[in-house]
Amino acid sequence: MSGRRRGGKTAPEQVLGECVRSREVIVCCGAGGVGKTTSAAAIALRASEEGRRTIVLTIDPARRLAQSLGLAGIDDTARPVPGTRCRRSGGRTGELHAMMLDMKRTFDEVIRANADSPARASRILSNPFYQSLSSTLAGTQEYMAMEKLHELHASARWDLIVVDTPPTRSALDFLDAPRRLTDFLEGRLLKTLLLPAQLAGKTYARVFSLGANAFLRAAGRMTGSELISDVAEFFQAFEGMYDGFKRRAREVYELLQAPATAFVVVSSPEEAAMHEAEYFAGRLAEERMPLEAVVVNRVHRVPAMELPDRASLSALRASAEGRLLAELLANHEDWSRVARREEKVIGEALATLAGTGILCVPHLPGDVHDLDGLRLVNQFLFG
Amino acid sequence: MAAESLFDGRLIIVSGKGGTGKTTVAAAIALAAVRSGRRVLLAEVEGRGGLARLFSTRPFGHGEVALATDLMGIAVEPDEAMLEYLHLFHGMRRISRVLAHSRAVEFATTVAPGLRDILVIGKLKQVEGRRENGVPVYDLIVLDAPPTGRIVPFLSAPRAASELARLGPIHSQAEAVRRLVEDTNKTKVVLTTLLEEMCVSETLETTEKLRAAGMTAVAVVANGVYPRRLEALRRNASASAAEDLLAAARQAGLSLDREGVEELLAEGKIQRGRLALQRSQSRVLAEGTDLPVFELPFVFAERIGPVELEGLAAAFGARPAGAGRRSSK
Repeated sequence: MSGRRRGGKTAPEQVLGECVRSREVIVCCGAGGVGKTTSAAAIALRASEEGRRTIVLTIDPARRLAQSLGLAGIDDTARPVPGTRCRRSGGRTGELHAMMLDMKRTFDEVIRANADSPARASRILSNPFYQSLSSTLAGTQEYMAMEKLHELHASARWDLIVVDTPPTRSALDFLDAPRRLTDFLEGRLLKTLLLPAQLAGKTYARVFSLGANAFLRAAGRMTGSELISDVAEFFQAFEGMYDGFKRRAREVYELLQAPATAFVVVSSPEEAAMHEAEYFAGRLAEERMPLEAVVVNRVHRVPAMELPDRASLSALRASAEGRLLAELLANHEDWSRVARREEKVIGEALATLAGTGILCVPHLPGDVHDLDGLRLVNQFLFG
Repeated sequence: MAAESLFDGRLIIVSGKGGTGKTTVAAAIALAAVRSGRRVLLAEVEGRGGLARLFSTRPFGHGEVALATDLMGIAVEPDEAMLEYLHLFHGMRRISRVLAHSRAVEFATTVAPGLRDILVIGKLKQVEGRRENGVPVYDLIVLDAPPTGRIVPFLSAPRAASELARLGPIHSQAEAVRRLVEDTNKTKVVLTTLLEEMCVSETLETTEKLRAAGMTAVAVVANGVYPRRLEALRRNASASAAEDLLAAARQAGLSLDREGVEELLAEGKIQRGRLALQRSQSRVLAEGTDLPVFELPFVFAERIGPVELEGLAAAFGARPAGAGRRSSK
C-alpha cells in the first residue's frame, strides 16, 4: 500500500510527514501488542530529526519504550534519548526526550499541586480509598496520562508531544477518561456519597432520596462501615478541587479535538486488532477527533509466483539441493497463505476507514529495539 | 509437566502480552481439555467478542452459550455480574432495579478499586461452585484473562477487596474468591508468549511479579512457533547456491526460472533470520524460568477456524477424543 494514492488524495506517508512537522500532539492508540510503543517512538524520532523539540510519553508498565530506545531504564522525568541525529530547523535544534508515566506518582503530584493546603493534600494521600484508587483503579492510568499530557502541553517546553496510550481493556477507556471524570464529578451519586460525612447521624436519613438511602445502607451492610466512611472522607477532602479537575479534563478533551492534534491508530494485520482499529476510528469520528493515519505493523508480503504442482515435488527428494528447494517452496507457500489472510483483513479495513490512509510496516526480520531499527520503520511510515 | 495436570484444577487463567494470541491459546487449551473428557467453560472478560469470532458463533454475552460439544462460552460483563450479585446474595431485587437505572453501577464498577475485576472473578467463582446432583456442572473453566500488564492487579483484586472491606458479606465473599484464586491446586495461571525478545522479557517479568504477589504461574505457552526447516541454507547463500538449486529444479523437471529461485532464497534467508531469533529467545526463556513450556505451531492458514484450533489443541498432547471419557451427569 506504500505510496498508493486513492481518489487523488495525498499519500498517507505525506499525511503523516505533515503531522510530524506541524502538529503539537500525536496520540498513538490501538489494541495491546500491535507495536504501538514502537510506532510512537519511531514517529517521535522522526520529528526530532526534522528539527522539532519532541517528547514521547509512554505509559506501559512493561517498559517497552525503554527497550525500543535501547535505554536501560526510564522514569517519570523527561530523559534525553542518546544517539539521535537531530537537525536544526527554523533556528532550533530538534530534541528527543522520553518519559514513562508513573501513575501513582502523577496522581500524588496532581493532588499536591491542586490541594489548597498541604494538610488537605496529606489527608487525601493517606486515605486508604485514595491509595487503592490511585494504584489499582481501572481508568486511572488513562486519566493520569491525560493529566500528564495536559501538564506537558501547558509547559510549552515541547514542539511535539507523542503519546503512547495505555494497553486498555478497550480503546474506549482512554478516550473516555477525561469526560468520565467530568461526568463523575458532576454526578448526583457523588453528592449522595458526600452527604453522610457532612451531616450528623440522625438527620441525614431525611435528606436522602429513598434510592440513595437504601443504596448507602446496603453498601454499608455489605462492606462494613469503614469503607463507606473512607470513601466519604476521600470525597469530602477532595471538595474544592473538583473545579480544577473538571477544567483540566475539559481542556484535554478540547486539545484532543484541536487541529493541532493528530491521532494515529496502530494495528496488526490480525482480525481482532483490525476490528479494534476500525471501532476506534469510528469513535474518533464521533468525537470529532482528527484521525490522520492507520499504521499496520508486522505485515507479510510475498510476491506471487507460479509454483510447480505438488506431484512433481517428490522428485526433489533425490538430492540435498532438491530437499532444500522443497523447503524453500514450502516456506513460500506458507507465507503466501498468511499474506493472503492479511491482505483480506487490511482490504476490509480500508473499505471501512473511508479516506484514512493505511501505512503498512513489514514484519522485520529482527526485533526493533534501537534507533536504527526505528529509522528502518520510518522508511515505511514516511516513505 | 503433562497437560493432564494442567487440566486437574478448576480454573485455568490464560494471560500474556497483547498480540501473543491469548484468546487463541485459551481456546486451544479449552479444546484440549474437552478432548481429555472434561466439560469446559471458556470465558472472556474484556468484551471484545474474540471468542465468538474464533468459533464463528453469533456474538454472545453474560449468558452461557454452546461453542462445541462439551464446550460452553461466556463473556462475563461486570455490570451484569454486579446486578446478579446483588440479587443472589442480598435479595436486593428492588435496589438492583433502582441501581440499573441510575449511574450507580457505572460508578461502582469504574470508580471503586478493582471492583470490576472482583465482580468478574466472583462470577467465575459462582459458576465454579455450581453443582447438578452434587456434581460440578463444569470440570474446568478456562479464562481468557486480561493481558500481563493488568494480570497482577486483576488477580489481586479479591485480596484488595477483602482488605478494604474489613467485614461484612463483601469481605467474606472476597475471601472465598481469594482462596480459590490463590489455591494453586485449583487455579493454574498460564502465560502466553511469542519467542521474540519483548514478549519473552515481559513473560519473565510477569512470572516474577506474580511470585511477588504470592501467586505462581504453572506453565508458559510459546505460541506461533515456526517449524524447524531451512537448516541447510547457508547464511550467505551465494550465486552458486542459486545455480545448484536451479539445477536441482531442472533435474526434477520443475518449471522454475532463475528469478524465481532468487526470490525463494531471499524469502528463505528472512525465515532463517526469524528461526535464529526464535532459537535464541527459546533459550532465554528456558534459562529465565523453571516453568514447563508448551510450544504451539505458527498457523500458516488463510483463516484460523475450528480445524486450526483442533490442531493447536493437539499440541497439548491430550488423549484423542473418546478416550477415558468422564460423564459429568
